Amino acid sequence: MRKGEAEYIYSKFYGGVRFCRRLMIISAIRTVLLYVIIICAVRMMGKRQISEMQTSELVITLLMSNIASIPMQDTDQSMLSGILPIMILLVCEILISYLMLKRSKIRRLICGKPVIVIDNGQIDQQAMIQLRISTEDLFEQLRQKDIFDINEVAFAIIETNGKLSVMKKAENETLTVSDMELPFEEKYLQTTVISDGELADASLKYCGLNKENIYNIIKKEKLKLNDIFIMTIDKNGKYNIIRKEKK
Amino acid sequence: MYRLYGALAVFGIALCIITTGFIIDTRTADKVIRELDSSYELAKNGDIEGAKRKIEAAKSEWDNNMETMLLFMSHGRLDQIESSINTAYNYIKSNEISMFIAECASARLMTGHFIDVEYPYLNNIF
Repeated sequence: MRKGEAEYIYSKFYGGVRFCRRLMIISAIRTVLLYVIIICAVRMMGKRQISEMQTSELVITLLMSNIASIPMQDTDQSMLSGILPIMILLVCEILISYLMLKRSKIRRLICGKPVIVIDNGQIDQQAMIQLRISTEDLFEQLRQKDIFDINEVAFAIIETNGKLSVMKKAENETLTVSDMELPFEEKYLQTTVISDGELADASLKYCGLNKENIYNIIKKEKLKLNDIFIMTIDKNGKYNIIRKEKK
Repeated sequence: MYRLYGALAVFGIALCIITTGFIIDTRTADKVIRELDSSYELAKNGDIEGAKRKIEAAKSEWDNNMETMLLFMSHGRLDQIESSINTAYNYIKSNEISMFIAECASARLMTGHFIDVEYPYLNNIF
């Protein structure tokens, strides 16, 4: 190999390595940016998107993840080719969900309607055929609701998101305090007011308390704010403190 | 309700991005096509200096707007057109007129196609 040739080959190789490194850096930066954009988009779509999904929401979630991956991996594509479809999907989803809220016909068209599969203890076989649900699917969903005997079920409904809702027969229901006509104390929601040493102002406001009240409790327990892992309190002033583990 | 307003704002931004990209791309491509056509005709008629000026204008127009167009278009497609225009420019600089004419025609075709696929025609959508 002549001297010039070796230098030429080296410069081509080194240039190629630098080029690849540049691509990887671009890919990494795009990944971070698209990650932030997707989080913002999902937040804008609201809690519905994160909890039980309807058909349109499932479609949107799948589409967004696929669209976002294209400019992440292919640096030849402009980033806007990923961001723009995400924006349009976001707008479509919010508009559709708003229309579904206002018009029940649109909701029925997009999401369908709940179907009763067990009515008064009787399985509706036609409904199961219509939904293409097998008996195994039905029993699996019942078991997930801790129901192992189908005779305990009065009504079972397949919701629009595919989940099963069950109402047990009266004789199989768990006894409640009011069933036994026992006196009871009103319960209030326990909210987290301190999390990992930080005060949550919104929770304080909900309980009708202020920082002074919390500091007095902490002082009474001979603790400092930074010693507390979680503190919950309700409107009655009933509180619970879990300390941080000592390292 | 705030989400709805937010969605409408996002839609407005998306529309601005689409419109801006479309205007920049079509305007640049139209100018470049005109310069390429002129350059091609001048070269065919033997006016090499005129053709050189026109191809320089086309190259300059493309280079000036390339950075902006990269935001909206696939980089690969833009690189192809840039490469073709540069090749044509180099041909005419080295007085290879027949090669220049061929490359000019090729660049013009690519630029024309580049813009045609941007229009919301049915055959582009499907």
